[in-house]
Amino acid sequence: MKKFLSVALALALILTSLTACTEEGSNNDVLKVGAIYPMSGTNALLGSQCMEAVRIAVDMVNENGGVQGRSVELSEADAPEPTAAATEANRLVDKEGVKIVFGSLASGNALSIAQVTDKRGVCLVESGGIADSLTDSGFKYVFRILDKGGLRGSVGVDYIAESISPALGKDAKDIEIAIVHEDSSYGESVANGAEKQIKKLGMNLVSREHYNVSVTDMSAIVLNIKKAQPDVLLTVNYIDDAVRLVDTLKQHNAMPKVFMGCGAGTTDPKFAMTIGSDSDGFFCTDMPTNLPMDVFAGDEKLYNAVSDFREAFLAQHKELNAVPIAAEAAFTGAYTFMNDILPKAGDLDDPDSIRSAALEEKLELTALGFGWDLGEDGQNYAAFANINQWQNGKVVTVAPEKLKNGQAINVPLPISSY
Amino acid sequence: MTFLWTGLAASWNFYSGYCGRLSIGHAAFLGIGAYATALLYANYGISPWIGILVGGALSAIVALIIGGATLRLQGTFFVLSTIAFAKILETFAITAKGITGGSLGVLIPYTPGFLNMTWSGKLPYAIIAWAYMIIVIAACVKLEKSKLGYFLKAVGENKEAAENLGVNSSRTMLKAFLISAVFTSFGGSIMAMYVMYIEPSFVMSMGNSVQFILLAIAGGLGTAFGPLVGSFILVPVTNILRGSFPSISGLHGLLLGLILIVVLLYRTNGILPALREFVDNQRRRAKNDIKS
Amino acid sequence: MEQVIQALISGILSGGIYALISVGLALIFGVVGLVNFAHGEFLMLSMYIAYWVYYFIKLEPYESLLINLVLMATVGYIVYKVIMTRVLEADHSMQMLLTLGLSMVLQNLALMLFKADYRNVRIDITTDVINIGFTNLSTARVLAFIVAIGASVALYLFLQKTYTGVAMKAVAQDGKAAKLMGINIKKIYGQAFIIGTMLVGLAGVLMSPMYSVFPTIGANFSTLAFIVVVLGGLSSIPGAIFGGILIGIVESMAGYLLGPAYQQAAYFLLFILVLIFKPSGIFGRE
Repeated sequence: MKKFLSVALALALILTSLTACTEEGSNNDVLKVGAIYPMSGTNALLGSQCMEAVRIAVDMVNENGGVQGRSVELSEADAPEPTAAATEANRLVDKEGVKIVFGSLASGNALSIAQVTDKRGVCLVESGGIADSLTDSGFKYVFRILDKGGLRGSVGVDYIAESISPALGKDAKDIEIAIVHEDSSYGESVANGAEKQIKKLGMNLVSREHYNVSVTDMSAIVLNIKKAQPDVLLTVNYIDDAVRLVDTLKQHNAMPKVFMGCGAGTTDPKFAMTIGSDSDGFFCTDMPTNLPMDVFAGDEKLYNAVSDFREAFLAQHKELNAVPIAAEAAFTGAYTFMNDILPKAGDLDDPDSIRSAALEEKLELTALGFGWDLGEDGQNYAAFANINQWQNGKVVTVAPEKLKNGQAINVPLPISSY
Repeated sequence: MTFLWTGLAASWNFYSGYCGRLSIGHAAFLGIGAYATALLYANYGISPWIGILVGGALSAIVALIIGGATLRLQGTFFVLSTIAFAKILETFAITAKGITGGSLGVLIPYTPGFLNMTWSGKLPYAIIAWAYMIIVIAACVKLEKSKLGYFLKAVGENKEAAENLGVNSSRTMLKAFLISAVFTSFGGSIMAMYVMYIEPSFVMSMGNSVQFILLAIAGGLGTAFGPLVGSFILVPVTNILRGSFPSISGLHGLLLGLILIVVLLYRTNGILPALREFVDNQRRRAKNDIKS
Repeated sequence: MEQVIQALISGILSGGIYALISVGLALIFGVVGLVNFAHGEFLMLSMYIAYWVYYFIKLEPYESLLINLVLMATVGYIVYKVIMTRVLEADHSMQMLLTLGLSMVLQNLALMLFKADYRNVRIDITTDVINIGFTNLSTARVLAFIVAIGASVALYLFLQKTYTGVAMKAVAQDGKAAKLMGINIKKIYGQAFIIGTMLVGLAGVLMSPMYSVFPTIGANFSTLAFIVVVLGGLSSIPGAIFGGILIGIVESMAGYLLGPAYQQAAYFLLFILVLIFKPSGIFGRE
């Protein structure tokens, strides 16, 4: 019996080490890149949309002759949670030999991927995770194209102070704001940013509550809002809970004067499609999304890339009338990095060379409407969030001035309950 | 990673496997270990080696309280109470931002060194995980031969009968539950140091608890080497499946579920005992051949 | 005060839905002795049926109720025949694990076939509100509550008054004795399993105008259903109804008074307390 066991053990060990050792040699004709997104589990929806966006970006770059003459080969990985993300990052680095990883939607995944890739000199191009710690922890090869941390929240608060309070005929300090956010690291980051800004501007935060996305009845949350009777509800949600929050606000006659969503759910095209005309006048602050094409008019190549991407993506999603923001960001991250940064790098196999190219390059405009200007920490300081508003089921940008393509309407909301 | 999962599955097996009472909340102990280590190290610079022990001690205390309250419950009630307990702890980790950093999680700083339990390569982690696995399995082997092990099995099979024979069932169970919790917590500490980032929605998730169970069951419930066999087959298979067909999301989960069903339907006691039986048969046949 | 009452009523209404999901679970547990971890996945399945029927032939979930129930009964029958009959004699923990495996399979199958999209049936009733005094009640929830209580009472009467129902109760109390009395136990088991599945199918129909369906929705509700069933004393039907409403109230009141963050923790805590002080459940026999 013992003998058998030891044989079985040895066999198992050999098998696992075999699977771990099938490393491929580097090939100079192809550039291997990886993409890690949650394709199963709770974030599967946004994750698979991001993956599609990266695929489109890779195809586009390959059609244009690849990067420095090398064709790009994409290895995909599914990471529903941080441990799987670490495992998959290890696999992509060790077995697939990727030099660059695109990711990762969730900050938790991004952090655990960065812990793997940074040590090995593999670059992580992040276009989804917003946690501060990703660029504040001294990682050398992490580049984040989108805004960080609570920027979305604080931009939302700024807008409330500057534009909404005059429209409501109140002094900014008298505006009562309630924050409700979902309890993952995303909601927490954005809400922290908003709260900080509210305190800084000396505004009035009347309540802050968080909930879990799996909550089955939003009544308790909404009744808390009703009790506080805020002028503005600032809220961070994913899509399903965002819709239910609005439904329940209407049900309990608790709709505040201004509804300010911050990212993810409230910016999703499905949000307005589901709620219908009642969404007219809801604000959502996020990265710039679905910008009108004339923003890109000055840059023909970018113009074509963005319109090709939108067309290709929507061809796969007939049910949507616009590209979800997460996918647009994923595309921008992958496309910008492969199209603008990598060609400038001296040696694609040397991460330091890629890093200096990424840090030196300054772009006026990317597909997300802001530029590319990385700090030493790898954060794109050209990134900003803008204020959008739903009008007739479409996202209209109402601030900042240079991206603005419409005026804010419905302040206060006509469906407001008080 | 495989070593680590083996160790974790074996830790779970230590109580639930031998006693036949499922705990679906063991991820709570994984979380306690992971958090204790990560927080002490990241906030106070206390070596993870000490963090592991602190986590173990904390888990022991929690296991004593929880075990004391719930172990006397009957099968189904016990199973559900373990889920509830894990959920409460998860809520605590999310809500007590001052202590745990809330849902933003804890990022462990990267400063390689033995005292920091951080290395640039994977090998040292593998060695630690391997050592951890060996220790837990050794403990299981020892358990099988010890009084505690016999008592535990007896209690699992028939509590009243065991009590009539003079076995103090609640003490036996509590002891095993405690050891199992502490081992799980050690595993959690190692996992935290390996991934270098933890967040409550993951380390305390029910998915993790289910994973321990799956590995232990597939290999063989209540056997020292079962979790080993289960992990060495299933962990690589999962990773390969997830790696090979990332675009078919759900495939690996589907297959794991199927494996669980098939194992339970046809081999109620897992792969290892099935293999044993097969080998024994072969041997007997071989012997018979020689005789004839 | 008005809002406290509103929160209380909202809790009671949610409780009705929890009760309906849990009644099926309680029946299966009581009669077959099976803890079905795949119960939530049956709920998901029913909601997907409601969604696809609506999507393709524009029948609203309430109108497609019969189709849904027939399909759910078929699913219940197949699962029972193919899987459950083999483990009726097996150990409880084995059965639990088996259903856990089944839930993984169903969940991931849904993910593969239907993708992770949130799909919702949005019809007039979704946003309809009934105003009574100062309270605002969601019509869909009120309807769900009434049907849920009606179905639960019907089930209770069925168990009291019909031959099959009484046989089920007999099997639930003492399988061996029932067998000796000439009751075909396997048939009764099968019937109970199918009725349990249909009840959760009904819950799915009532819920689909209110909730989006996605592969992991079952998980949100199945743990809840378990807690309800245990609180109610496992196999007791009135217990499950009462337990469901109690959980609904606790969840809603905790959410309103302590903050939404504590909604789930509150009922888990209640659950553990009940287990410690009255392990047989509030309605259970000692």
